[in-house]
Amino acid sequence: MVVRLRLARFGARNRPLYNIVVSQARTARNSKPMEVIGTYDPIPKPAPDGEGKPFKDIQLDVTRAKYWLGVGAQPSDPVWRLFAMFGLIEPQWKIARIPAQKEDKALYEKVQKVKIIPDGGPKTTSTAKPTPTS
Amino acid sequence: MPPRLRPSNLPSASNVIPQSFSSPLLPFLLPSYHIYTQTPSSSSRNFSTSKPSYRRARFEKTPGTRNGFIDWMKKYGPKLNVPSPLNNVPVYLTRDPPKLPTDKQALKPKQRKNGISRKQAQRDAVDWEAAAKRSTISPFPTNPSFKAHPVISTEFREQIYLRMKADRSVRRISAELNCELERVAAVIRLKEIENRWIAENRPLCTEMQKRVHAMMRVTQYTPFPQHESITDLRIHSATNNQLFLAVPESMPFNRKDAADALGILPADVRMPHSELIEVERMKEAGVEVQEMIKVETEREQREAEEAKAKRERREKRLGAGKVVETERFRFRLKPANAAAVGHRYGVPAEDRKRGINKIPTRVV
Repeated sequence: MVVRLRLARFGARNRPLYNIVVSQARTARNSKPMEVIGTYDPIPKPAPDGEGKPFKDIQLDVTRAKYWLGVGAQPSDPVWRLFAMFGLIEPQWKIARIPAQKEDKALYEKVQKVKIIPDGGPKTTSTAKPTPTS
Repeated sequence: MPPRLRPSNLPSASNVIPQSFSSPLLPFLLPSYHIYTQTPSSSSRNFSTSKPSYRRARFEKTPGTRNGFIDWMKKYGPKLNVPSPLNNVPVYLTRDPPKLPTDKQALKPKQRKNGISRKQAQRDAVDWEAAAKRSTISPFPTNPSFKAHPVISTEFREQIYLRMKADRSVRRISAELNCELERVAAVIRLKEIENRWIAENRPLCTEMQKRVHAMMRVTQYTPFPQHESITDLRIHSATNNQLFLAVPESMPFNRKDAADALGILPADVRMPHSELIEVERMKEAGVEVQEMIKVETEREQREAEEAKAKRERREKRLGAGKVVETERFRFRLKPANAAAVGHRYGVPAEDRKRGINKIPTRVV
């Protein structure tokens, strides 16, 4: 049976909170996992200084995440997205315009399937076809 | 607000507005010479080559409050005295204006001989300067208790901004220029926006400003300006309710005790520029100016350091961990320990099980 890295939903109705968990793929979503390695709060909180974008918090035990990835645990799509932000895996979808990626222009273009046009021209134009979700 | 009208050689305001002119924004639509003391040109239609159509723009045919205004003007207009605005003292229309100060010498028949009408002579004889000094500061003729608050001049604002650029605190600028803290802060914010707009080549609404300044009292910048009281204490909502407190007659009861009773900070602390109290005390005690400056500088430094430390603590707290910014959100990535993180998987609650007593057995 496959070991998956996935989200387990907590919180109340309309107020989700997720645990990032390591569990057997065929067990129930909220069943007791093998390990809890982090949390994800998907509800954006207003920016603390009153200006700028609202924020979302992700907590992750990076060491344990690396271990589980190393032994072949399969991240689900949302977890893949979160892990990519931590730089643990290469981004799969059109996730974050991650600063790290922006620095590595070639990687960014490859992953995002976009062409970065230098200042003066129009902003990055997406040439990517909608990626089918698995 | 009834419009302020160009007065110096006009007997009444009703003459200023031609019968054909109709607009609710009359004072703003009038060219600026109607507000200032220049002589208006004979025609207000210089820009137009077509004949004016009096038929279309009759007051009687215009709807709404404009009619009310016109009626008011027709009724009271002839009675209105409109002195000249002088030194940025606004002179508003008043319903029952005081008698205008006139120069009796100028009214003598001998001087009126050279073809000037009696009315004109009367008008010329008015000492507009004195009239402006005696004028009301209420723009609402029927509400004399309303007093228009002065605004600060462009140069004043510039001075505030220059001081900010010279690294002076808002508190200090406010104390130096006798201008409220909030006003100083607002001026600085708006100046920043103005500078940005200038850099972006966006048009500024200076004409509007000019007109508004012509209609209100304006505090000019002087080395020691007195714009407003800067130590006014805001009413605290806790003080709106009555509070009865039995106090021994022999016990002194001061502001601090009152604040304690109400559960708020004492007035001396709550008031803006509470540091000025200390300055006054030093003055009373006869402390030398140099010493006072030294103490104040130290206090200012201490305050700046505290504010900086607070800011740093906040930044540290907020900026813990990496931040990834996407199109819509900032993701704050925080390191965690797998042993302690996450919502727990505890023992199931048994309170719904048969035989479990749900009646509380303890009183909290």
